[in-house]
Amino acid sequence: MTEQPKTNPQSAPKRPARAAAARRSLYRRVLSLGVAAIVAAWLPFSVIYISALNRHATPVVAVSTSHNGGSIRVVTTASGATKVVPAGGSTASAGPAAVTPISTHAS
Amino acid sequence: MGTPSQQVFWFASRAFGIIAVIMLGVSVTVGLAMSGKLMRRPGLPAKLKRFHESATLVTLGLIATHAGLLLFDSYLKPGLAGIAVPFTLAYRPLFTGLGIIAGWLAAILGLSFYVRKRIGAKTWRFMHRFTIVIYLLALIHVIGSGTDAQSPWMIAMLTALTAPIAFAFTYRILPSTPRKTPRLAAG
Repeated sequence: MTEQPKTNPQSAPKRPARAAAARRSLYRRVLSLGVAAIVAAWLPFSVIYISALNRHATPVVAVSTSHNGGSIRVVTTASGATKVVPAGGSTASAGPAAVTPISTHAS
Repeated sequence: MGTPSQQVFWFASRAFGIIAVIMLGVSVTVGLAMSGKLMRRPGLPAKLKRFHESATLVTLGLIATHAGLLLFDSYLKPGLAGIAVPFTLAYRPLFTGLGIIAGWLAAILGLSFYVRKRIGAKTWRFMHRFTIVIYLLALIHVIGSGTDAQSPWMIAMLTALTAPIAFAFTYRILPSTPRKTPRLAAG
């Protein structure tokens, strides 16, 4: 009668293989969750970015002045761009009453 | 203030901060549900444990990204000290400081799992109990320094995250079996 080995000879090489498989599985889970998180971050990012763009497009200063019998309006937008438009132009309605405060960085 | 395209890192940092707090909330809820044995279906605890570990690692990555993106913000210019040392950032120093403390605590407590054998399971379990503090600090950080803290969607999101945590935490700390009350002596 042969003596039974105390430990299964197959168990020793199996252990590192199991650990490696567990590690691979962890990497896979972390990677998929990470990708999902990055994709998910896109939603609040777009909302914040689009709302900032909308705020940015608002004219913040509008000054009217007479010019050779006509009237022009100088409009400075939040981006710093200055536009000279006829008083009857599309942005003419943006008078001082429509002035919006320049949003801070935090907003 | 710059154009929206100049603030892209600031916006991205905010977006990653939002996702980080969601992931942190989910991870803490799952951890509490596991330790409180809220779900006892066979095989579920092992699955939850695997998810909890992955969610924690991803949360750490998101926190690092949230802070790291600020380094590229041309307006705030926090520098490495501003994002790593609590209360040094000029922008809402108290609340950003608490956020930095929460970030470091999350890194220490989260990664302590991998040195569990070295520090001892008992010490690790004791440390792990303070995970709830990380969530509370993160919550204060979001409410105090988060630009979107006043938004209804943010309030709704934080409520939806905090309610299950409050439930699981209460369930966890309450004794599992009712204590025997001493029988009153008759007569």
